[in-house]
Amino acid sequence: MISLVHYLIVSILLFCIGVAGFLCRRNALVLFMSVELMLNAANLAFITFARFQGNPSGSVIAFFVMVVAAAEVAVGLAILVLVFKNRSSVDVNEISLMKG
Amino acid sequence: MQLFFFYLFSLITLSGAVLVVAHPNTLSSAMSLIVSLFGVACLFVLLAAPFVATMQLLLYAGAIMVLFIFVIMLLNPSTNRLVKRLSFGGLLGILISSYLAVILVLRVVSFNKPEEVAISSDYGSLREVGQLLFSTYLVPFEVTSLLLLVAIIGAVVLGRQSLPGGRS
Amino acid sequence: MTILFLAMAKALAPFLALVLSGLLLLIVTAFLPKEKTRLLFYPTLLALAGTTILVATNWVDGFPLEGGMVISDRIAYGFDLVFLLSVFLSTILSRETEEGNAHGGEYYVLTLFATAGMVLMAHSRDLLLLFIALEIMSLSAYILTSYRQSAKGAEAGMKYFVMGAFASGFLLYGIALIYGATGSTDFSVITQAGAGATGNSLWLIRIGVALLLIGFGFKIAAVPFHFWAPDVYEGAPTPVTALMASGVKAAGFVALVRLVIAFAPFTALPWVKILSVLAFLTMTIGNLIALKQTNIKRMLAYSSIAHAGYALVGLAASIKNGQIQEEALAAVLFYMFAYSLMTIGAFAIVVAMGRKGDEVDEIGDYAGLSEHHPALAAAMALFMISLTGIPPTLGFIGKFYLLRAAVSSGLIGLTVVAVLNSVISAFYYLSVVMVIYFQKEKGYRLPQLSYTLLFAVSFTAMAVIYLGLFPEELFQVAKQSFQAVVF
Repeated sequence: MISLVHYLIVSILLFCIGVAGFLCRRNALVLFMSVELMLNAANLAFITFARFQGNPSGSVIAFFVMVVAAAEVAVGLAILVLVFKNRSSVDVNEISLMKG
Repeated sequence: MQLFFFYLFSLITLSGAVLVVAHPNTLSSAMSLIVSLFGVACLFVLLAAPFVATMQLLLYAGAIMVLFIFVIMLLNPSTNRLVKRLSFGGLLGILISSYLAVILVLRVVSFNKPEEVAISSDYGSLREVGQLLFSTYLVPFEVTSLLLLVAIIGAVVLGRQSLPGGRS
Repeated sequence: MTILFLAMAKALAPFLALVLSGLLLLIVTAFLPKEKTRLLFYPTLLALAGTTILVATNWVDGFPLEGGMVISDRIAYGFDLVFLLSVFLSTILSRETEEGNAHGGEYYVLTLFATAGMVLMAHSRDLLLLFIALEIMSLSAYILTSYRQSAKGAEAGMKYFVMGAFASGFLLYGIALIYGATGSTDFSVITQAGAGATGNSLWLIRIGVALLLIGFGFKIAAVPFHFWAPDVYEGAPTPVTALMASGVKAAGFVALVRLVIAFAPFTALPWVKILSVLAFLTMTIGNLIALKQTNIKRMLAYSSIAHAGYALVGLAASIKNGQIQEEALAAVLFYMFAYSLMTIGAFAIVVAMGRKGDEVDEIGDYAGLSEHHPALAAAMALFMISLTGIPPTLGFIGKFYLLRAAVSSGLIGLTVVAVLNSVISAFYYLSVVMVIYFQKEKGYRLPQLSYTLLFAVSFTAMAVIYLGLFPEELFQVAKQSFQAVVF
């Protein structure tokens, strides 16, 4: 039978893939997507724990997380477009003006 | 049967996620992200949360990913440049996250495995979620509207024509 | 139901006041011609002042209001005062800059919404609500950072956003694990369930708390999660930088204070060790890198990192044998207040040095300030002295309370490190003073000072001196904010 542990491991792996992607990629769009993976891992954990405790609030929390993710993406992509207008690149190393 | 579907969906989710991170082409990364999100939605169904699964497809695959792809198409960033050899920082990142994964998974495996508790037929339904949303979670629900308003203002403000003399 | 609703509305009154005035201004903006939007400066200040009065009366009333996921105790009101003060002062600074003038409307609305987010963070009794409030504050801050749409501003906004989103991923996963162990995100339920937790669920809570600490570590720019801060502080418009260094940082600290109060008694993590190491690294690295900065905003950014380190010393001192030391937490609150005043004062002078549209950021440009504007030079010297922590200024008093708490909790080593750090910081703070007073001017002519800036500088300068001499009453307020802390 599938247990809590199965789902939790999937969630942990998803989270860590997101972290790895964030740390080793330089393309801002991929960074955003890695963060989406992390948020999804958290959602999976919420739903899993809720299911195995028979606790209905997990679905509600996951719903809020999705809304937060949507708001974040809207603002993030707006900033990204702004950066691109100014610098014609989305590589976080290439756009650096400030150092020190 | 359920076990088979679990492994199938997990495989979809995780391989999609790996492709998001590893694929050099941004557009392909976005497509893989859709696949991964779809896998997560299927896992939600297995976990008796149909409402969240639907929202996952509508909100993520429907709204968020369209936005992503729209921006990728709009900017058309130089996609065909392959990921050059990993930098030292990137390697460190992979090491840190795999270390994190290993310690967490090793400990979680030793958990005693609770069976699924019996749940009412109403569990995870729109009706139950709606009731919680407007009672216990009323404050966050209302406050979220402010969050969305801020995001709307932000998109408008950042997308407008630049300030006179502001752009250098 | 109605009664519950009313209780909730009352507990949330400061938040609602800010949101409603923000919405009102948003509607007004839509109908104002563009040249007139700068007039919204005045109603914004009015709204902030009104909310401050509301918060102050509620603080005096004292007894905690609770409703749903909201808690309005004196801790929340005390931090509200810090937020409102710093937003008020940094809004005054924006009067003279591009943002406040040409496209004022949304700028002021977003400032109010960011404040609402901070206030809600202080009033959250639930991790989910705390997270949403944090997002409201952060999203507003990201937008304000790139408000100018210049290359630097956009880059700063992007770096801020990317790191912030990464941090919220950690926060959320931490919340998920804690939810898994306790079945709730409510602090009071968590503390009850957590007290009896053993084995696996205790382990889940511990990992969750560690992830939360990482997340908030990013938000307060604690070393090793600080690397975004200097670029963001440099690239953002100066008033926004002032807001980030004061209000946003204090909001991060209110979350950390709530975490310590909720989790320190039962998680049996090596809290003191973790926070001490964090404080040590943050102070030392912030100060050492600040030494070689030539750009004043970058210098103040690293100084801000270092000051977060001093405040973390207070947080480390707040746990002694698993017991919460109220006095140390009060010292943290006092320090956030003191630091906000001094740093906004310094940023006010940075704004004053810039003409409209361009900013004068190099420390070398301050040469000769003492000849043309002796008063402004004296104020800058005062803020630098206060940031160093030399008596009789507010900065000294703030550090004194923090270190006294650290000593009484037995953190002697950390206290010595903090004092040594103050000595290191004297080099770069006082070098600014040297440039102002002893270097030949380069022919930079200071523009006319406006009344608003004059008010901001003189208000912060007088507060730094007055509260430096008579801090006792303010510290009593901080202390009474932390009486009998529980959830």
